[in-house]
Amino acid sequence: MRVVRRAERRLRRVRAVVARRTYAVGRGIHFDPVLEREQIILPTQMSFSDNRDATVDVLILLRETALKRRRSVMLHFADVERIDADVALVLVSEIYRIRNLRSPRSVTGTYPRQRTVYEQLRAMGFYRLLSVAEHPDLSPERSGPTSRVYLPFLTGNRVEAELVDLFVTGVEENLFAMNEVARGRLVAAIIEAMNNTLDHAHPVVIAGETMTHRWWLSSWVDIATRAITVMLFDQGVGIPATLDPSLYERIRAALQDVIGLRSISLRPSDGEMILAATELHRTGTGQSGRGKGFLNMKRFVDACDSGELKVLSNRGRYSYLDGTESHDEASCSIGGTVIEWRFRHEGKMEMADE
Amino acid sequence: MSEQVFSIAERFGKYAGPRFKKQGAHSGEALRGVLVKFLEANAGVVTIVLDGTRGMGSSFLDEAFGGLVRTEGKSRNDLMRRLRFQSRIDPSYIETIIDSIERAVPEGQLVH
Repeated sequence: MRVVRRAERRLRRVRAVVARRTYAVGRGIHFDPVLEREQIILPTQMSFSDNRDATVDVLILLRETALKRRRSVMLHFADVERIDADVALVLVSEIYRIRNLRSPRSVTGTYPRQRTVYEQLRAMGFYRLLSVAEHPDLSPERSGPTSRVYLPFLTGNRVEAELVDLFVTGVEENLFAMNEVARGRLVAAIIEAMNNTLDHAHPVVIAGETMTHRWWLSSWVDIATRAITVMLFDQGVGIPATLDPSLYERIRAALQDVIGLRSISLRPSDGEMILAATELHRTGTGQSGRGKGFLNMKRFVDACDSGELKVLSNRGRYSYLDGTESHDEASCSIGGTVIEWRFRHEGKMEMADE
Repeated sequence: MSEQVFSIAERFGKYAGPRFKKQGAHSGEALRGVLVKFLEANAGVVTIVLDGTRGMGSSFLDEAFGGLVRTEGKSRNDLMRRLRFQSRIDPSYIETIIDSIERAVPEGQLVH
């Protein structure tokens, strides 16, 4: 009887492997013989701006499969044709979290077929940070001229003032000079964004799911336009969830100042909450709030030839572009907060000491 | 009584980091500790020189100066009487500090 059961089990395994191999060959994806691993196929366009729902869905699937259901995961990059830098930042942080909270083998993946995607991820330090070997046939020497220069991902759980200063020195030496006011405000704004991750992002810790007080930083320069983008991500509860509900009237008042009475809903959306957070300079305990940091960022953008401040937090999206603020809300949460800051300037940047 | 000068860059350092010590080096909380000692050792008016640092965030300044009221229990009026601020490069730091002191609420009291 036992022999029969064992034979049946073996037959089921063989059938499952055959089915999986057929599926993999049919889709042109890597065949993964490990049956226990959940297979997650990443969308061709991984973008928060142009394919947000599919991109967020796959991040949620990864998080829930690996952290809540405790299953190992194989991520299929084969079909990915585009991955925006902010998505890569969120994805690498997610893989890092899962590997640290579970085991290094709990998430693995395939290389992208698109050389440009592979090269971008390599340049961003995706493989190095995750201790994944770089593809032997796709060495950097063989790739063509690049249109972007990336700063490899950085992560930490403390505010690194000297590191930020070094980064700003790099901007000064390679992109544009700044007077002391501008330089000081750029340093202060990045430090403030890091500090907010530590001050506000993790009021509650869920065992096995939270890596507290950790920020993720990346940056890239578009060589043609000489625009620099700085991105900071945290996996916290999100800006809308950290605004004290007792401040609701202040939030509404702040919203009234910015967008007028007409469009204020009774229950603010995540987009409206981010907008309000950029205006609130104090918390309920009298400490300075996030608004000062955002104000610094907006002032810096205003002083540049062109620039944008973008915030994605939970389901909300906020943008400050050419002095105009806009916001909206998506159906799913990105699971944290991305602050993305892009600016470009020709010549020496002079900020007034107003 | 002669006026004392406290330069943040010289007495504390040119880098300004996070709010609290546990969050990293060069914190506002650490500066507050140095400041408290200086204020206790030097009676009378103290001029705080803000120039010379590499850039200070509002959380850092808030914890250093607002924290004098919130955590150290100093009186707002006494601080406003004793402290002078000098920032030739970026006077917005002075605005942030004064705002922090004026709005700080001593621990245990609620904000209305």
